[in-house]
Amino acid sequence: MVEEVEDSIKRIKPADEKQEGRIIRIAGPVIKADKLRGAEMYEVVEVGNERLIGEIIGLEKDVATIQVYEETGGIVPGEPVCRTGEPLSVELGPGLIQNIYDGIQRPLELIMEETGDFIKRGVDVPPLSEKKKWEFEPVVEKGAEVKEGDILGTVQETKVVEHRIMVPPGISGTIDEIASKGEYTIEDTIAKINTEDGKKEVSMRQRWPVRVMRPIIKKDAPRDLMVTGQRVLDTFFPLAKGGTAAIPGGFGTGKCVAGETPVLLGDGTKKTIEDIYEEYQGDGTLHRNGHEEWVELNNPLDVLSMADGRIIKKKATCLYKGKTDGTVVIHTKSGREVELTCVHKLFVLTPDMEIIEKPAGEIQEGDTLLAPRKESLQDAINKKTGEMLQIEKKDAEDHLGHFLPDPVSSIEVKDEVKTVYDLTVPETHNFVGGNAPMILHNTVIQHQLAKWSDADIVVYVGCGERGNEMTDVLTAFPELEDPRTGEPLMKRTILIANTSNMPVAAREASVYSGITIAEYYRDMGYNVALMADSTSRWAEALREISGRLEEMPGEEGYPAYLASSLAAFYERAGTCQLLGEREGSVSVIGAVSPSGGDFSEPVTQNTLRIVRVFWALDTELKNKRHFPSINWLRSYSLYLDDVAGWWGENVNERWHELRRETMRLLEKESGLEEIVQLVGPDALPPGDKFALQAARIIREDFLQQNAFHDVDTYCEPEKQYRMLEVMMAYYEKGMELLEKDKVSFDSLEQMEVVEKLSRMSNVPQEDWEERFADIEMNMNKEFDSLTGE
Amino acid sequence: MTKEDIKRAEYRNVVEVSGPLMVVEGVSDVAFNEIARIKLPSGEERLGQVLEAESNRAVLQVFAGTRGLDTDLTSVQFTGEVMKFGVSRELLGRTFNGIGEPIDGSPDIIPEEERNINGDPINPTAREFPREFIQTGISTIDGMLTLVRGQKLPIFSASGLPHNSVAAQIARQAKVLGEEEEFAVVFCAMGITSEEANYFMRDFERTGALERAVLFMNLANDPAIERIIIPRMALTASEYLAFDQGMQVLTILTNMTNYCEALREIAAAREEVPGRRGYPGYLYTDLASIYERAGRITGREGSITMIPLLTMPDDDITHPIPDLTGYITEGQLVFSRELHRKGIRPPLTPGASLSRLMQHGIGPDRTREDHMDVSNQLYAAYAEGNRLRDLVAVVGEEALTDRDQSYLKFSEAFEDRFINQGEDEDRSIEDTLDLAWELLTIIPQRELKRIEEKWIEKYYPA
Repeated sequence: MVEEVEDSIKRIKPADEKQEGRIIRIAGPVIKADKLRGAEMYEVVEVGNERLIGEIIGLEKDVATIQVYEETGGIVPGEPVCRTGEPLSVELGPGLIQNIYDGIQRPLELIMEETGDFIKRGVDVPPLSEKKKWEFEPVVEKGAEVKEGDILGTVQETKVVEHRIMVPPGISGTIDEIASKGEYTIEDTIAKINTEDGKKEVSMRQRWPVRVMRPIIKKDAPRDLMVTGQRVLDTFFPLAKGGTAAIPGGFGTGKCVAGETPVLLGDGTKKTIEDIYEEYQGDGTLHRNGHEEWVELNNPLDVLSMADGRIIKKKATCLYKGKTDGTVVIHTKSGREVELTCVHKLFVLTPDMEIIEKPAGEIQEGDTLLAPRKESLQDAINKKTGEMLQIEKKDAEDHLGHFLPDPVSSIEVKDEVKTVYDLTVPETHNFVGGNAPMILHNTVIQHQLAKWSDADIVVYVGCGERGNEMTDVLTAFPELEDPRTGEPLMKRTILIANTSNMPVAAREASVYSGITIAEYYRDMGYNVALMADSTSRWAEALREISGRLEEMPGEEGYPAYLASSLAAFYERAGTCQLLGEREGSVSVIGAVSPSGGDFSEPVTQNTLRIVRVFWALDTELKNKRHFPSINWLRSYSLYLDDVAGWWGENVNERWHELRRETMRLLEKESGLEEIVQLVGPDALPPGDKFALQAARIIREDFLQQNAFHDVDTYCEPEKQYRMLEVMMAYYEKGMELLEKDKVSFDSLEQMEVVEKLSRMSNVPQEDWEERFADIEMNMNKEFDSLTGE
Repeated sequence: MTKEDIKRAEYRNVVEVSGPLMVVEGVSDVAFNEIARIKLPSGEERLGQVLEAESNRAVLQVFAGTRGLDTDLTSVQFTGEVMKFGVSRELLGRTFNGIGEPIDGSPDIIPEEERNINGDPINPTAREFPREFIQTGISTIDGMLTLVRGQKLPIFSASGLPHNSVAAQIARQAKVLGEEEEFAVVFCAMGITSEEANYFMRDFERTGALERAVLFMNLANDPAIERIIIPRMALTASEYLAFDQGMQVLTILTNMTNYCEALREIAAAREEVPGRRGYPGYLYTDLASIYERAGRITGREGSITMIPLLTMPDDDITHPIPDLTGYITEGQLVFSRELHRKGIRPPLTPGASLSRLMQHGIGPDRTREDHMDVSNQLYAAYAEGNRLRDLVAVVGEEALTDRDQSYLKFSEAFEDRFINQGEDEDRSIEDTLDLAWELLTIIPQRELKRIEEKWIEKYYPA
């Protein structure tokens, strides 16, 4: 690997003196130039009289296709194209930290000095200051044997980051000369090394091609937790240092019932709902009602359906297509009011005391509906939840006593124009595909991660992001204090900002520039976190360029190499044994923003196949102002076993178990919620009511975290663990007493400690240990007083 | 022949005309994006722009449409310039058409400077983060979806909903508290009907806003292709007024759906590989080049606050236009047909709407210390109320506890009194927050978990 890389750099050396091509075609960011025989793929070229930066992305005889990293308006065919003899590379050396670059490592602050508040094209500023002097301190002596990756000396780059100057990859030998302690610029030679190929001069600056991973010895399994201070992440869905995570971002809400909505079928295939309709409409009884039509399927269709966060196989019994989605409002004598689509079925009791299912559209005044009678399903509840929910006709007959016959008093029809398709799935009324509910606030979470994660170095790539949001990062970071060092966070951060209105080709390059810089610091032995927001925008850049190249499109117009490009990018993460016998890691957290909230789109799907942690943001939660809106039932982390050791060593051995129990409680809640939807909360037995109460505490007071609250914004793992422990103790103890019939649910619900638990997250860092102990003690006292002991 | 002579040369070898495009051969030194004058056999002159430049061939889009062009007599002259728009302070009070010519009968303006309408991207490090609260006088926006200066906040509406009257109300009432600054409205119409356009014009006239406004009009029967450039001219004017003249500019772009349709038309004519629903793959980048021109710049007085309006085809928020817009803008104001049917105006649904810059624009010194908490509580309570409405549909109202009943009552009152307000009703932020507190008394006080105790003590109505 190392040799190969070295080779590729060597080969692209400036060819015969400044070879010049000529532009023959311009269409947006892609141009063609001829007379470039000998130029190589991915070689950087200078385009036009203004010497815009471009990269060769296609070759045919002497004609090169070039993507240009800047706006191309006004360029005329015939202008020159100059080769540089080098692939797209970044400069590495002291001065990277605290800098803000665009996608191809041009420092935005210096650009501003050159061209003002707007970015004009053709500016040429070096990525690292060539004048600034750095205090270099050697750690090797003359005559020492060194090999690639060995440390020659150090530079204090910022107060918190020691920059280790390494022997560049591909060089090893004996130190012939080493600079003494003193101030040097990045251009000065700081060492001369006698190698097999002669004497080599080494400065503090290296260049590295961005599309090639920097060499390592090997990758290890991740084992340390990346502490983020976010409870839902650290405790429930941990990311290991050197791991990969995806977070769906962006925007999208509402139920999508347009024709092209894809649906996941039970056998795992995916079809659009329109296709399903066309395919199966002959396979059942067709009904028409004005503009609507629906098919009652002879053989119900297996689809994957979502029941409160869990995906289960369900049978769709009816396909629906309509122009006018008229709704029917049915009022009953007892005062109930139900608004339904015309095909929504209700249970009707016929005069012969027979129960039939009847579409709402056919219900008439005087019909008797069956409504669940509250508090009457006590028996049924103790059955398995799944069974209980399938109140099909048969069950209804068996449980006639549980239902209240309720005559219809009036019917109102409301009109609404819409073309919709729907699958009717008993009970759950939804299906997987289309738009899984989604999120809005991923950026808040990404910022929180960048601020609070315990990575040594943070590289934040704003790839196609909003200008104002990037500014938020740019202004917030310098002001924020690193909780561990007390220094501004900027002193360990590198920002790459290629906002959505900056050239699209530079957006494509930005993630590679970012990860190459991250790898460089990893090579020094640091734990680096790279955040890319958003990889979907990056993939779109890929698609846009591919479209301009008139390549054969793959899925949804993305190029066929989308999956391999994504995989290759994430694969650059990892905990590594490095050259020079060190260890370091790069963790990658990528945001995906599925268009239309459609998780089945290629970027999301390909990403999920690669990453090992998924933080599922959820619009429903966002609407309820549950922040961070990470759905605890749909998120996952495959690092649980990897980081269990870390939790054991640093916090408590019981973490894994406690987490499992809490998850079980939350899972139980989601099952119970379904029953509540059906019969109301009062119908539940006290034990279940208490489980709901405890789960609510976990949800509202543990999973929720206020990013804008001084204390709550960061919660250390020890505090996380204790919070959860006390909360779960409340549940376990309460449950135990409840089962022994020593207390009532009401008295548990009204315990004073409940309010205290809800304020735990705001207890300041200094005295939480003491205060939590107090809370726990008072809680136990309160329990004792309840039972009269 | 000098270069200038070549530029002035008239080319007659039009080899192809299709849809909005034409192809000319035998040309030389034609620049990408260059503007050309096209002379029709009838003597009429139209403008075109180069979409593809090759050594001896150029593909142009013709702004006023290709009707009447032929491949025999039609001639093309390249100007050597990219599309520019002349800016000056005199822009205020004037009306322009899709290619930047005045159409209000007054004489041409004398430009201070001709500017490339594509502009340059603002350097992210030069941006100043938007923080100043804009009071729109509409409770739902001020209280829960706060607009700040330099923000781009689109309205996602649907056919048949009153988005125009809401946009006009915002334009009329928007102000920054406690500051007297120069204010301007840049209004850009893309493919809207003359009735809609007249509505805005009348409203601007009625309120005297017209003299502080610059209008760009491309109506439904104007050439669709001009919709591609008109928003860029409007933004060039906005940038000039904001960043050169120090004015607080509110830019209204309506209707972005028509803009995207025009973009799709060109892409289809060029036989490009289509992306989602036939829109070009670069729709995101293209929209970003418009929306991202809003903002503030450090050290400059003015700002551009942008309100793009779009209608969601088929009420579908996942359609590429609202979807991609939402990814670029800082939130969205979503109109709901359901609320509209209930007679609530503006039918703004807080659940699906969002203002991403809200938390930075509110709080002590900006609005009021309890604002964030109150807003969170309103969201939570309304979401809970809506959840219970669904539950009621299944179990009936009598199955609910008193607590649940109170949430239902709250949701009703919230819609009727908080969201609902008159077209000329201008509520101050104090009024909005006080109203919110009043409504929150409907639910039990212990349910106010999102509000810090000290604010409850201070603001809870006696």
